[in-house]
Amino acid sequence: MVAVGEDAQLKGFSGARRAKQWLEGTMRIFGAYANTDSESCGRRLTLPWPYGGRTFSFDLGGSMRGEPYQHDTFCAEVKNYTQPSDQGTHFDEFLAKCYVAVAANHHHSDHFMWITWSPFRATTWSTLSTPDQVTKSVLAHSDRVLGTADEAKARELLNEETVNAVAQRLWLLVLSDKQETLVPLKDWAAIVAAELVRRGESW
Amino acid sequence: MDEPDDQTMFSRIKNTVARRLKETDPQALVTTTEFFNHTHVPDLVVTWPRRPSTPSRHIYLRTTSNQQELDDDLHRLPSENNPVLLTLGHLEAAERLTEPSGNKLLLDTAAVDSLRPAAGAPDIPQLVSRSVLEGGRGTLDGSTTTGLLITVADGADAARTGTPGPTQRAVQTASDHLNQQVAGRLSSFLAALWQGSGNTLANFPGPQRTTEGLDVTALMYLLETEEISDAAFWNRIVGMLNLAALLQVPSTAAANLQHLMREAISQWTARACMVVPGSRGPEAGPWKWVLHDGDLVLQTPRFHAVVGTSRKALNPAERYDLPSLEEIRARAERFGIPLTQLRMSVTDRHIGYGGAGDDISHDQKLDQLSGAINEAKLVIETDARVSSGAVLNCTFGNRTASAHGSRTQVPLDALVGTTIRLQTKLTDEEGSTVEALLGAQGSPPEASWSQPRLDEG
Repeated sequence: MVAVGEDAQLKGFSGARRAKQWLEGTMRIFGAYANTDSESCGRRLTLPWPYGGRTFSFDLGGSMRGEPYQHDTFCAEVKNYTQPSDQGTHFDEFLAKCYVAVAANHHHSDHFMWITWSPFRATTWSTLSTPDQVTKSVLAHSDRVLGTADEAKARELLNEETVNAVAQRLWLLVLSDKQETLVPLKDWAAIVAAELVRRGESW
Repeated sequence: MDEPDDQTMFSRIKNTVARRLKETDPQALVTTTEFFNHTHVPDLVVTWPRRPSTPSRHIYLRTTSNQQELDDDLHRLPSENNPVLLTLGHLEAAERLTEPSGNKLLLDTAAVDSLRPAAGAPDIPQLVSRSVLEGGRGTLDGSTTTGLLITVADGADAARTGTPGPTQRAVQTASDHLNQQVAGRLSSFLAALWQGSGNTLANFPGPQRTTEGLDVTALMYLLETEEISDAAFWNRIVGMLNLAALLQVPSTAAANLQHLMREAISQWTARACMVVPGSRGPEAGPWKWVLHDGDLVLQTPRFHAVVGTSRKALNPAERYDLPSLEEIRARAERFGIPLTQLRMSVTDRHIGYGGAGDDISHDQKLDQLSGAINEAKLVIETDARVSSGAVLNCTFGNRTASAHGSRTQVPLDALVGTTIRLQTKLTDEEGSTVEALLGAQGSPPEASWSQPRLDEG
């Protein structure tokens, strides 16, 4: 089987595509698509900021397979970085986006995945998916999320339940080029695919 | 794709694609999986249950139309199962730098739409569409697909008039866009049109078959394509094949089968026939020839007649009441069928009556014999002479007829016609329709011909 990481990296494929293929290799994904695949895909993964008149998009979205995630939806931000760089800043914005998605009951809000090729905020890594971090991140974008730049007012407007929901739904996935090659072998994938096809519904 | 729920969106898209594929080939079985846009698992699988030797095709849907990503996906797909990558976006076939290798096919929704048959009777483009679904390869967008259908349709028209240019273009186009097996089948079909129209195979502008005969796949295409009502055409086609080849064609009751059989019944032969109440198969219609599960059947409103290589091959069952002597003599009289011997059942005894091979059905002695026996005289079997001179042994408990002599073959019109006329009590209308379909009963040669009865199946 073609090694995803090696060829994909060499061919310059997007992080979203590489992340999709890695997720599919777990066989826990029914389907996934990138926001750049088509206008329709882009629309599915785009939401408006509540204030300011602009929109934002998630990089990847899809549907999960197998309990306890059967038919759960997910959306993901994918950072094809080799260095930590400014991931922290982007991560804060991502958490603000997740807050907006949960508040809007968006159809892809069951799980939020941050998928990166480079760890970041190493000293506070264990706290990145806590309600406290979500709170900090939303406050950093309170003008777009809550309609005020005043921290005190923003804290009053912040919904604790929504904050907790975001924290519970967060996944932090760190991939590597080598890890991308640790996917099912071609023969195994073919056997599983054949069995799944066999169980399909006929027209 | 604007349906909010992913699972619903996946299902709607796949159901739409499945419908399109089914419209392209109604004989295909399309199975959907739970997966969507997945690298490893297809979205749909197409199989052909009535043609088990036809390989299945795995259909992978793709939300992207990025050329590089599609090429990478194609490279990853296993060659087994003749994969099809269907992008929900738009392809520009002319702009592609590489072609899918082997039997892989890349196409877009515009191509799938182009493959949909126009409403109405089967035609050449429909035949080509089904060929693409089964064996298409390379890259097809909307315009290249339309071009393929038009080129082959034009080629078929040209083949019937013996015009080499468009015929050769059709053969080449088929070779460019279909796998070797399916392209070969289409080429054989064009060659059959060429020959059937009176042109010689040596002049056909395509790969030459090794024999003058018609192969089964080309015959299948001929039967399933648009109706050809030219009797001379079908007469030539009959000369290029035989009943055994016809029986290899999957079940059909196509219009072209009726035209073929009209010419074939006086030229092809068989040894046995059986009359069975009711219909045979879902495609059967009144007064039609039908191929069903490897059998040739003439379907009527009340019963059907099955043609076989032997009585045993028909798998008859002894389940019918025996007709009376009077009834059998009446049927023979009505259609002028000479009977050379009879065997009757009278209570628990059997009585045989026969002669030197001449017609005994009008004998006075038989009248006297019949008058002398008060009990019901039921006919177990009788021998009937047909127009070719052969003798058919008709047994009424299982409603079959079989030729005397282990090597005797009987023309289909005489075999089926005689069997139907003796084994059933036909209404006036039915009698007329049988004559219209199979010809009049016809008289056997003057010189009586008899052959010692041998044990045959």
